[in-house]
Amino acid sequence: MAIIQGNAKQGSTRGFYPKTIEGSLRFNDDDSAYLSWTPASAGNRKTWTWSGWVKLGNLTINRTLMAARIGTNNEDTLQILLPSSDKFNIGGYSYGLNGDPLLRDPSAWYHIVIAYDTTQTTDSNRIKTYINGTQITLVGTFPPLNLNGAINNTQEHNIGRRPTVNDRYLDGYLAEVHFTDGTAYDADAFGELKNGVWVAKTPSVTYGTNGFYLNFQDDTEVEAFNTVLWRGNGAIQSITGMGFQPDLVWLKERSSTSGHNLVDAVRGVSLRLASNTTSAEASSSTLMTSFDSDGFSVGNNGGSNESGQTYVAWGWKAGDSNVSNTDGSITSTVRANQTYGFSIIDLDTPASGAFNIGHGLGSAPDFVILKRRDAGSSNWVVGHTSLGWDKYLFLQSTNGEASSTTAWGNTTPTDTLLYLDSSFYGGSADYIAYCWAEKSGYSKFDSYLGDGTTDGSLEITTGFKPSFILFKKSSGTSNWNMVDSTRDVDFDGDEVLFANEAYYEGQIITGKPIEFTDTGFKIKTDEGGFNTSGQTYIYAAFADTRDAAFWLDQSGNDNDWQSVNLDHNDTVADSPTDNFATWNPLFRGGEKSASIAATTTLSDGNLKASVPTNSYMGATMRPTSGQWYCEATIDTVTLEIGWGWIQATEFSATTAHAGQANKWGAEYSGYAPADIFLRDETTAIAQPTITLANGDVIQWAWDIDNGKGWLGVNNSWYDSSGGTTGNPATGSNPTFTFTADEAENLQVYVANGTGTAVFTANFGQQPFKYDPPA
Amino acid sequence: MAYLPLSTANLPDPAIDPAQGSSPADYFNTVLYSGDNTSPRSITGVGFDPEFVWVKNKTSGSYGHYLWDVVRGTDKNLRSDGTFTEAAVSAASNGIVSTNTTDGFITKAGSSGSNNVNGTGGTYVAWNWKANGSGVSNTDGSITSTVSANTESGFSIVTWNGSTFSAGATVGHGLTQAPDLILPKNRGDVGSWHCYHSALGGTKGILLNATNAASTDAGFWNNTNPTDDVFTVGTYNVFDYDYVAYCFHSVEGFSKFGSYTGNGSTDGPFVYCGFRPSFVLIKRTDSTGAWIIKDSARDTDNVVTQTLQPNTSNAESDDNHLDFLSNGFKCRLAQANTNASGGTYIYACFSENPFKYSNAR
Repeated sequence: MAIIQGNAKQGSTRGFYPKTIEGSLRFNDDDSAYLSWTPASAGNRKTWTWSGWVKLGNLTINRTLMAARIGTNNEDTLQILLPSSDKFNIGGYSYGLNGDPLLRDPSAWYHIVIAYDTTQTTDSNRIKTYINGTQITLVGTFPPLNLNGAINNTQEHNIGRRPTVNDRYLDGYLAEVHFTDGTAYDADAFGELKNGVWVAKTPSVTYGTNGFYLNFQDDTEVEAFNTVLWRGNGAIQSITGMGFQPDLVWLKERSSTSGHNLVDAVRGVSLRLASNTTSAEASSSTLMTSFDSDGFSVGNNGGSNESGQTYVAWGWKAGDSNVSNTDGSITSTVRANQTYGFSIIDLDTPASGAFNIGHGLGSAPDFVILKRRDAGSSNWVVGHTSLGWDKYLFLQSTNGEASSTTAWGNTTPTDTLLYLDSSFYGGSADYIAYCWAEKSGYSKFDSYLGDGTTDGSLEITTGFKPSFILFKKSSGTSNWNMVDSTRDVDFDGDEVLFANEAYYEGQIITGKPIEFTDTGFKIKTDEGGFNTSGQTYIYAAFADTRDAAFWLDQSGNDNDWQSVNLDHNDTVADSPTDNFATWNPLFRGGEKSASIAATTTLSDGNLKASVPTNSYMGATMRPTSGQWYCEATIDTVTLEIGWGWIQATEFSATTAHAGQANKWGAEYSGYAPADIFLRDETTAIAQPTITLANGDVIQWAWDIDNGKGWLGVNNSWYDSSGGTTGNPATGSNPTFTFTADEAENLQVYVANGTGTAVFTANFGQQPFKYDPPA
Repeated sequence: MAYLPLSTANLPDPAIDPAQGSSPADYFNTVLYSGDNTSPRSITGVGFDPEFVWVKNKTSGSYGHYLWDVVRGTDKNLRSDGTFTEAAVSAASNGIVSTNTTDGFITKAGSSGSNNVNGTGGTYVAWNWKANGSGVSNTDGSITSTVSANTESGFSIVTWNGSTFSAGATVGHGLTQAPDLILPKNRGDVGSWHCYHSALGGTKGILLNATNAASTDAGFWNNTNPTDDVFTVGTYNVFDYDYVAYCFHSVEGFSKFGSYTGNGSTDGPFVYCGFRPSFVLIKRTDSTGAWIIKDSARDTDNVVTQTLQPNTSNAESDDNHLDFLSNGFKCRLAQANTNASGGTYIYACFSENPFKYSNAR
C-alpha cells in the first residue's frame, strides 16, 4: 500500500512533471545514518554516472553523497562530497575538484549529475558535473587518464558517509538516485527543461552490472509478514511501512536491553507478553497505542519508544475479525488468515483432561506457540512439525526439546484442530496461541542437521528468499536466534537477537552466521545456536515479499543496499515534485530586524528545531492564499515556549515573546499555574490554563482568504476567549483574525523564552498525528 | 476545501504558470552580448518582443544606462544614471537602442560609434520587459495618458504631457492594482527620476539617478498613494513637458516589491519573494547609497557577486554579494549599499521561476 501522507499529494503540480517523484530518504548526520553496499564483482571503474536529487539539511559541514574509500591511493578512494565550503567536491586520494557554485539553498531541491569517464583524453572531460541540468566549472586536478577509480570496485560503497574513516555523514534528503555502470551520461539523460524549469524524467539508461536505482520508496505490497524499524522519540509516533495492518506485533529494542513484547489484536493493543520471561500478561497504555493501516503507533514507553533508542517489530497479518470457533471440544476465539497460514487463538483451558480447539487455518499448523496470560511463571510452549507432536520447547528457555504426551495430546494437529491437555497447561487457564501453517513460497518450518562448517556449504532450501528466520537447536541447549533482512541486508551478524533474552543486538553474536539466498539461506558459522556438528536445528522462516523498500535497488539488478541508522520513518513524502516546507536556517531574525536571532539548531531534515533562549524559527514557505495546516511535536518543553504566526515582512523583534507587533501566537507559561497566553499584536486576549508536556502536539490552521487562524494543542482548537470551541473545519471561532494584508504574509514560527526547547515540525512530509481539518 | 500541508505542490497556481505553458521569462528576461560596433545590430534571444529595454555596457564606466520603450518610440533613449533629457541618436554619440524586434531589439551607432550599446570589446547586459504594444489612450486620470499595460505581469509604460496641469493631477496607469514601484522621468528637460516605492509610501520619494536617501517631499506624489487606476503627481512630475513612467506591482510568483532591514552580517537578512529571482534592484533608503542591480544571467550561480549601479555609469563591480534562492534572496556581505546594520532598504525583484516550481540555487 502507499505511504499515507495526509493530503500531501493534492497539489496541482502533478500534471506538470514528466515524472512524479513520490518521496525521498532523509539523512540525519546526528544519527550517523548511511547506506552501504559492496559490489560482488568490479564493474567499469573508468566510466559511470551518478544522478540524484538533493535537498540540503545542515549547511557548512562536510557531507558525503557517495564514496568508496580505503584511503591510500587513487584506485581505492573516490568520494563525492558536499564539503563545509558548500561547494561540490569530487576527488580521489591525490586529486580533487571543486565546483564554483555555492550550494546553500535548503528550501528546494538540487539535481546533481556526475559523469565520470577517465578514458577521455582531455582531462576536463573526465569528470563533468551538472547542477539542475547545467554543467558547472570544476576547478582543481582531474583524475589521470584511464584511472581505475574506487567506485565500482569490490569495496564498500556508502551513500551518506565515507567508509573506512566513517565520517562526513550526509544531512538532508536524497531522491531518485541512479548509478550507471559503464556509461557516462550527461544531465539530459535524467532531466529536461520544461517551460524554464529543470525537471526529472524517466531515464532511458543502461545500468550495467553494478548499476542501481534507488527511489527510496517503502511502497510495499506485502500482505502477511513484514519487518519495520524505527528510532524512539519519547513521544507518540506512528510506525509505518508495514504494508498492512498487523494483528501480531512482536517488538524489541535493538540498541538496549528492554525485553521482547508481543501485542496482538485478539487480546487488544494494551496487553503485552514478553517472550523472554514467564511473566503473565501485563497492561500498558504506552507500549502500543493502536494498530494502524500501515503499521501501528507507539507511546512513550521505553520498551517501544525511548528517545534515541532503536527498535524492530515483526508483524503478521491474521484475519480481519475475531470469530468464535466451535470446531473443537471447547469454543475458542480465533482470528485466522488461511491464505498465509496464520491464526491467533484465545482459549480457556477446561478444568482438567485432554481437549482440542479449532485453529481456523484450514490446514494443519506446523508451528505453534502458546502462552498463559493470566498467571506468571508460565512457560511459552512451542510445538514444531520437525519435533513431532510428542515434543516441545520453551521459547523463553535455552533448553533443548523435551518429550510429552500431553503438551500436544500426543496427536498431530489436523486441518481444523489442535490437541492439548489441561494436565500440561493447567486447568481453567487463559491462553493465547499463535499458529502457523506452512505456505509454499511464503513460509517454511523445517529442520537441518548442523555440520560445523563455516564456508556456507551448509545450505538450506526454503523455496524463497527469507526475510526473517527464527532458529533453535532442538537437540540441545541454545538461544532462540532471530535474524532478518531488514535490520541487515547483508546480514553480517551484528543484528542477532534472542527471543529468550533481552540482549541488545550483537551483544553476544558477531560475525556472519547467515547468508540469505534467493532460495533459502547458508549457514556460515559454527556458533552453537546455528551449527554445531551433529546437532539438530529447527527453524521458522518467512519470505521477503516486499516489492519495494527504501534500500532496494529498483534497476532490476538487485544491487540492494544496507541501511544503517535509517528506517521507515526516514522515508518521507518530500520530493522534487512535492517540495515540503521545513524550518528555514537562512531566516535569522525578521526581515525588518537589524539583529540576528540566536542560532537555532536544526536536525532531522530541518524539521527538528532546538530553540535557545529568546529565539525562534520560521518556515520556508509563506502561502498567500488558501487554507493550511501543520503541526509540531514538543520534544522538550520549557517554561516559556510559543508558537503562532509572524508577519515576517514587518516583524522587527529578535526575541519571540508574544504581544509584539506583527505577531499572533500562543505563549506558554509553565510557571504555576501553567497557562497559555493567546496574544494578538499587542495584548493577551485570553489565558487558558493548561500544562504542556513533552509529546504534546501543537497545531496551526489558517485560512488566508478569510483572514482566520486557529492554534491548537492535541486537536483542541482555541477560540479567541481561550475556550476550545475553535473549529477550522467550519471556519468558526478562530483564535485570531487577520486583515487581508496580514493574512497573506504570515509565517509559521516556534519560539522559546528560556532554556532550550525542542520542536519537531511536520508540514505534511510525514503522516500527521491528527487529520487536517476538512 | 480541506486544509493542506505546506508544500510547493499545494501552493496556488501562479498567474504566470509554467504548468500552463508560460514562464516568467516570457515577461522579463535578461540577455548578455558582446559588442561588435556594427550598426544597426539586432540583439536576439530575449524570447519576446520587449517593450521596455534597459542596456548597460558592463565593462566600461564611461557609458551609461540606456533605456528605451515602445511608447516613446524609435530611437528615443533615456538614461538612469543622470538627469539627462531624452536623447535621440543625434544626441547620443555612442549609440542608442533604436527599437524592438520580435525576439529582442536593435542598436544603432551614434556619431562616435556604439560603445553605449554595442561597442567592440564591450560586453553588455540588457534587461527586457514585456508590456502590451505601442500604447492606448487612458482617461482614468485627470491627465489623459498613453499606456502600454500588461496586467498579467503587472507592468505598464505610461506617457503623458504635463502642460496645463499642476500638482495633484492624476494619471491613469492601466494596471488593475496600485503600482508598487513607479520610475518616472521628465523627457523634455533635465531632471531627476522622482520615484515611488510602496514601502516608502506617497509622502516620500527617492531618486533613481542619485544616491540620496529617501526624502519626505510632497513634490514627488503630492502625498498621495497610487490607486488601482491612477497615480497622483506632485510638482516634480507635472510641468510643461512630456513624461514617461514605468509602473510595476507585485504579482505572486513573478515580481515582488518590498523592504528589509540590514543586519551588517555575512549571515544577512533573508527576503522571501515566493520565487527564485532573476533580477534584484536594491536601494538604501535611510541614508545615502547606490542603487544595486543583480541578475541571474551575469551570475548564474551563487554567490551573486556582480553589481551594476543604475545611478552611475560605473562598470560592473564585485561587491554587495547576494544569494539568489528558490524562494527569495539573502544578503551575504555586510556592505552599506545592501546590508548595513540597521539600514533600511527597498527592493524590486523579478522571477526566474515561481517557488511552486523552482529548484534550489
